[in-house]
Amino acid sequence: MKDIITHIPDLEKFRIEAAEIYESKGGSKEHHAAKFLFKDDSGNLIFNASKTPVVYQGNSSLCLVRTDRASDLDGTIDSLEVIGECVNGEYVFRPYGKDKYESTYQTDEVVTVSPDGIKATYKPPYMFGIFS
Amino acid sequence: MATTVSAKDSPAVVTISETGAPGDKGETGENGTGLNNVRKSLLDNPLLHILKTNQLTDVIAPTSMDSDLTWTRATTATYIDRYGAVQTAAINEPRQEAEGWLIEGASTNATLRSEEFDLAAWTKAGTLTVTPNTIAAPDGQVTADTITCTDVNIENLLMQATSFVDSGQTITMSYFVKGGTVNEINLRTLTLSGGVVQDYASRFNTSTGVFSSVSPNHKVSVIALSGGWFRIAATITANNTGNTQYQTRCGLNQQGFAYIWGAQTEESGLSSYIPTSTSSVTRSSDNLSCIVLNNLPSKTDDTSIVFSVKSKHLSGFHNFISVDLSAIDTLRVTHTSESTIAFKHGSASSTAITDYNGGKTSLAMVFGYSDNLLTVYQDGVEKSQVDAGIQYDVIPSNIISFGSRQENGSRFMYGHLSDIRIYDFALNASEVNFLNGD
Repeated sequence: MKDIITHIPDLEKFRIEAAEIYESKGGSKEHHAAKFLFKDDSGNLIFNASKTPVVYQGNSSLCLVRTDRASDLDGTIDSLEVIGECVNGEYVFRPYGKDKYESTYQTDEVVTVSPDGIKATYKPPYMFGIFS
Repeated sequence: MATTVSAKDSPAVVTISETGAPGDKGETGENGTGLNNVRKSLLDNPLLHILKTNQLTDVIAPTSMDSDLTWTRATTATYIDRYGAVQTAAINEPRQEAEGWLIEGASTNATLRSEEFDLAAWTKAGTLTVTPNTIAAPDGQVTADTITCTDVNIENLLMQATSFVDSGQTITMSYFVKGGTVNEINLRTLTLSGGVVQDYASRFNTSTGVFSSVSPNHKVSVIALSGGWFRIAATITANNTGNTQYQTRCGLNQQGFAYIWGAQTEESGLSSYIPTSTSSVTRSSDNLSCIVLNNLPSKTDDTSIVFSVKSKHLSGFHNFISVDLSAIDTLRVTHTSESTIAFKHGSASSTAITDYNGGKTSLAMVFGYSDNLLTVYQDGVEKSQVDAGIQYDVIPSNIISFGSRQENGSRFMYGHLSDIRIYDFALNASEVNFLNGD
């Protein structure tokens, strides 16, 4: 199994492309990624894979996906890019992957003071998530 | 001794004895009722019988092997064995706890350094100090920490913030705790930074094993483990917009020390413990299924499905058992709201039991083809009976999902399933009661 870091720079484009891929399901020209796409009980398209919670930034997103066939997602969808992998609990980025990652996932420090006067500093970790 | 065993559609009578010997009467005191209605030979021949204690599959098509039941999970996962110790299951390995086979949807522990309270990821307030790795944790490793406080006039606590809070979002924090010289552990949750602050506190007593005070806005739970350890949890629902931060807090209000290990913050309700280090960690869902072929009766057969369940998450929409027939999702048992479990076998609207409390319970649904009635039982007692509506063709190549709706990867349950049986005949009330153990 491989843990791949997926980046979607334009969610609107991805939704349109995913709908087209879903339509290929069961046909003679079924798309490699069709096996990940399903409709929920309300008819909404869902991406069903082992994945971490999705990180959103405006119209873009990041997600770590665990799959036994990374080739089904890697280079097969125009609107989805694999920008790296998680290997032994560490992110390993492809060229330009790190820039795209850091522009999408914010790790700015936030300081809050609760009503009881206790100061808390929250700085999101550099890696947004891994699998157990 | 006269013995008569009837098949389906006939009066069901097993006369154990007519000699007046002890034990010959049915539970109503007359032969031909109660236990005498139980057709043992039929009960011993289900189409499918899985998730027995210590036995994953007993009867299942095509080969009655464990491999006929597909059980996948893309990650490792922890569970609590029957002796109260935390164990880790490998990828795809089923997890059995004392209450049954543990089945869970995915969850993510957003708390960092879940076993390392001495590190900077944890803010310490008041006089609370942390000594790392002092005693054996619930998993047997010496990784549990001692927390000590020296002044009870100020708040002494550990705290960590996470970033998710939306209105309506449910969040659960949990810790493993053990009493030392102090037996009162404070749990406190805050949502803040932008909207109205929600600040709730509850207190757990390690001597009594129960919460001594509970915030009306907390839903708390306790799991007792071996070695004096408890896993304690509090769940809140964010009720206003604008907040961006959630804080989990754990502390002491007595002078002395206690032990702590395994913190977790997750969306929705409590699930199995997920250890973390420098980032949040996700545990994937358990996916159980088998093929319909020879495990489910035909469209024109009577059908009985019996199983036990304990659902840890009382909110949401969770399938216990479901099958897509020719129409979508037409045979199912679903936990649809906090106290409601709905049953469906055909086109008609679900019929439901409405007093489920989250405890372990035995459920049965019995469909009679000739009268088209669906009868539902809980703990051996008939709860409702409805016309099941139009019956759909059974598609042998489809799958039966346990604990979710795998056709679209949704409706995952969080809890335990056990002793699932499917029969190709209609159980009578005495048989349902017999299988319930009464």
